[in-house]
Amino acid sequence: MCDVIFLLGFSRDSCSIVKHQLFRNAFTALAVSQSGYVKNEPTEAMIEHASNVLKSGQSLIVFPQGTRSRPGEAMRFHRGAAAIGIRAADFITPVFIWCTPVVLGKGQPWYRVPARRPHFVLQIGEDLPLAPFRGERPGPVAARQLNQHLIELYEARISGGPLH
Amino acid sequence: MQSREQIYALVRDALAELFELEPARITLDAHLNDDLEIDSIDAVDLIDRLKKATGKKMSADDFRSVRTVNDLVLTIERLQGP
Repeated sequence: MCDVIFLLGFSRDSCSIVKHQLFRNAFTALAVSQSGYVKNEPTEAMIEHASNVLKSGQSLIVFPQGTRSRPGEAMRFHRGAAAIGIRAADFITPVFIWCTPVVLGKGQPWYRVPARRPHFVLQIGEDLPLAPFRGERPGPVAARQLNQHLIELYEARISGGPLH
Repeated sequence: MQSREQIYALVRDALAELFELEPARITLDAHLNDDLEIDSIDAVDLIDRLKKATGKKMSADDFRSVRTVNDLVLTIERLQGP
C-alpha cells in the first residue's frame, strides 16, 4: 500500500492496479472507484481496461508480486502484469524498492516499530523494451518468458541492495 | 456441430499451441490449473482462441466451473447445443 503512494507521487499521468478487495472495503471503495484505477479481477474486462489505460498514453503501475518480499524466500510474480505488458505496453520501467530496517513486512506486527526510523530507497531501472519478447510467439508463451525474465532481474537487483 | 472427439482435438491444439505444452500432458483428466499451469489470465486467451475455432459465442462465465480438460470439452459441447 505505501509503495503505491510513493510511486503515484513520483509519476505523472499514471494509473495503478489495485486489489479488487479495495473496491469492497468501506474505507477505500469510494477512493479507488473515483480514481479510475484498474481492479485486479482476473477477467477480460480488466485486461481490456488496463490495455486501454496504456494505449491512452498513461503509465500503469503494477506490483506483480502483490506483496512485500520476505528475505530469503524466492520471489513469485503473478503473470497478469506480464500478460498486460505483452498485450499493450511498449516497455516496462522496473522500480526497485528497499526498506531498512524491514518494517511493515509480512508476518511482522505493524505496531512493533523499529528503533531506527525506516528508510525507503526507490531506484529506477533501465527501460525494458517488450517487442523482443512479443515476436511471433503466442501471447501466453511470451508472457511466461517475460515474467521469468522479470523475476530474475528483480531477484538479482533486490538481493544486491541499492546502488550507490 | 462438432462431435466430442472433434472438440477434444480442438482443445488439445489450442492448449499445445498457446501454452507450448507437450501434447502428452494434455489428457482429459489433466487439471488446467494444477497440472497445466493455466491461470485466469491465460484462460482469457484460451477462451478467445476457442471462440474463433468454434465460431460460437462464449464468455468467461460459461467456464466458471471448469477445472479439467474434460470439463472444458463438455462445456463447449453444451454451448454448441442442439
